[in-house]
Amino acid sequence: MKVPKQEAEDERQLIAAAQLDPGRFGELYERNFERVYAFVARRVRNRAEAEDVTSEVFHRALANLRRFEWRGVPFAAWLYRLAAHAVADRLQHAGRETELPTSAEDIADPDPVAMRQVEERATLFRLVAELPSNQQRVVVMRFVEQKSIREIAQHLRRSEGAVKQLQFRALENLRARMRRAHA
Amino acid sequence: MPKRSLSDQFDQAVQALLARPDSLLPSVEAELAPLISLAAGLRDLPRDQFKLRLKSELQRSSSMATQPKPEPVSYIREGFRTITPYLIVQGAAEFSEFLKAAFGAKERLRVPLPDGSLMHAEADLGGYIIEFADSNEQFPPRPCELHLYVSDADATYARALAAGASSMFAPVDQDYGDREAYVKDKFGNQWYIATPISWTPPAGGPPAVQPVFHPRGADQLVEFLKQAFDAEILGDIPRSPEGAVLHVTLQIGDTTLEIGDAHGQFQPVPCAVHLYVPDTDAAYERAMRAGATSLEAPNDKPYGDRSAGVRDPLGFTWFIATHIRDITLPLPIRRFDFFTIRTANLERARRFYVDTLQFPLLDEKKGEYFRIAIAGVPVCVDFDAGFAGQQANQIGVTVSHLGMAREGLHARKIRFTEGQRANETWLSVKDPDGHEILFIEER
Repeated sequence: MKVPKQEAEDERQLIAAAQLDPGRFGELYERNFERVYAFVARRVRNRAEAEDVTSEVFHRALANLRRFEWRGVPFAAWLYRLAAHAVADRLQHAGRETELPTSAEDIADPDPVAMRQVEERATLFRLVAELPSNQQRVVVMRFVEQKSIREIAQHLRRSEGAVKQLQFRALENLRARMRRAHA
Repeated sequence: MPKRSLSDQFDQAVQALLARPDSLLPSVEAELAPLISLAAGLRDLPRDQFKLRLKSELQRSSSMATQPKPEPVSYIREGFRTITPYLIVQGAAEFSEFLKAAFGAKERLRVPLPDGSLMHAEADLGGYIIEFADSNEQFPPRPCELHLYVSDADATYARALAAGASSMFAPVDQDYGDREAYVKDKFGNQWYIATPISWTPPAGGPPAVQPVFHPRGADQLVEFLKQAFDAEILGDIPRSPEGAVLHVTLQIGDTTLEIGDAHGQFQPVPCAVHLYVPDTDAAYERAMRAGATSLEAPNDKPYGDRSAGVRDPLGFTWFIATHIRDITLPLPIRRFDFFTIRTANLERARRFYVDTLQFPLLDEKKGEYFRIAIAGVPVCVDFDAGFAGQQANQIGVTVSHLGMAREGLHARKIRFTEGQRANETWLSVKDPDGHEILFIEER
């Protein structure tokens, strides 16, 4: 995983600040929530498990933040490793504490194609929050709450055709924004 | 057959995607393929509520990590019980006066907004708290039905009518052992005023304040409260021949509430209730699963509670809260008024300060005091016949609301006395050296 130099320096400072004052952890959380969630969601069975494991990853990261040593590898890589352990625990139903990586050095570079997909998905999640509010509501109701077009139409007091249009435009909008984000 | 629109075709593919999450992407026209691939990714879109809740959990964990020894606090704010009625009325300040006049309530907190309306207020009624606030666009009026146990139902009924309430029925001996009256105030609240006459209340007396609900569907409300908040049914449920619930008492935590099916003059009143629970997030989730709709997802409030809001399937509002830390509100000081020096000879002091030193005279009351400004700071020279040169000094400040100052001093465990003269009311506090600070209510 590579990150631009300035971003890496900002992240290093953020980690150092959060190691001194755990109250600053929130900024690291905001930067990485979607990544961890995207990584976990692809590897567990359902939303409830994805939330449990994501929660566990961030709680462990907070508890072990002082043991993290900055060696130039992105913080996200450490989080992915924590997430991989947490998912493995979950799949084995072992519930045992797995050994935590203490530095970035012992984090092997995972499959780059898979990691690129995770990063893309995290970007997609973040972009939903930037959609116009009516498109955003339709996306959340349709994909998160799994409501039918009819239910959404009733809720928003729009015709079913209008809701389908909003859904379509939301996805086109996301596609355009994804292109810009990766340009 | 006309060709279907792209949005129709796209939705059909989305429908297939959502119906079979594990299968391959549905085949679509080339121009829709990239959109379907994005739609597949959106199936894993995280819930906003989850992201916010986890952040706040982490904030709590991190603040525990930084604070070496946090004082453990009860999940119920001091002075409160599990259930507190929250009355949203038009004219909260006037309502406070009604509570005092009708039921002898004591106002214990008042949080005014700059326009004079009350964002929040609390009154103590026989050791039970009633919360109330002015209605606004976001929170329209939500009156309550409340059952009060008082020592003399007839006397309280008379006081309530004198304070402006209208009678629904005069005191009568009910066959369930209460002498009971029923009044309605001008704010839309309904009050059952009762005194036990042929039953023995539990040690500590009957509850002074108990919310009452008359939904159209009492059984449904009882079921919701059991599922969402672990409510327990106390005693039997008497029913009408048609099966309607005549009356049921439920216990939630340390408080009780009453429910009966709507009938006759007892129709639903859209009551709101403040409910303290050990874990707001968990209670909120359970309430939602039990069929509530969300008014506000759990979030940390500046006054030290984590709080959420839901509306139950029958239309009653529940503000769910967990007290997480004690916050002491600032004293509502509006301005510095004066510093006092005392004299046994007011005329001589006046000649010295006003005539000789020529400090501007702000106001005076012959024979009692005069006030001057020394470099802009008001100083009061006060007549004290027994002055011997050793009396303590006095500082006067104006406060916007005496009730808030009283609450603020209580919270800080500072002892005070109350004083009144003509149309001026104040709280008096002694500093450790005996100097006096007066908190004077703004007129």
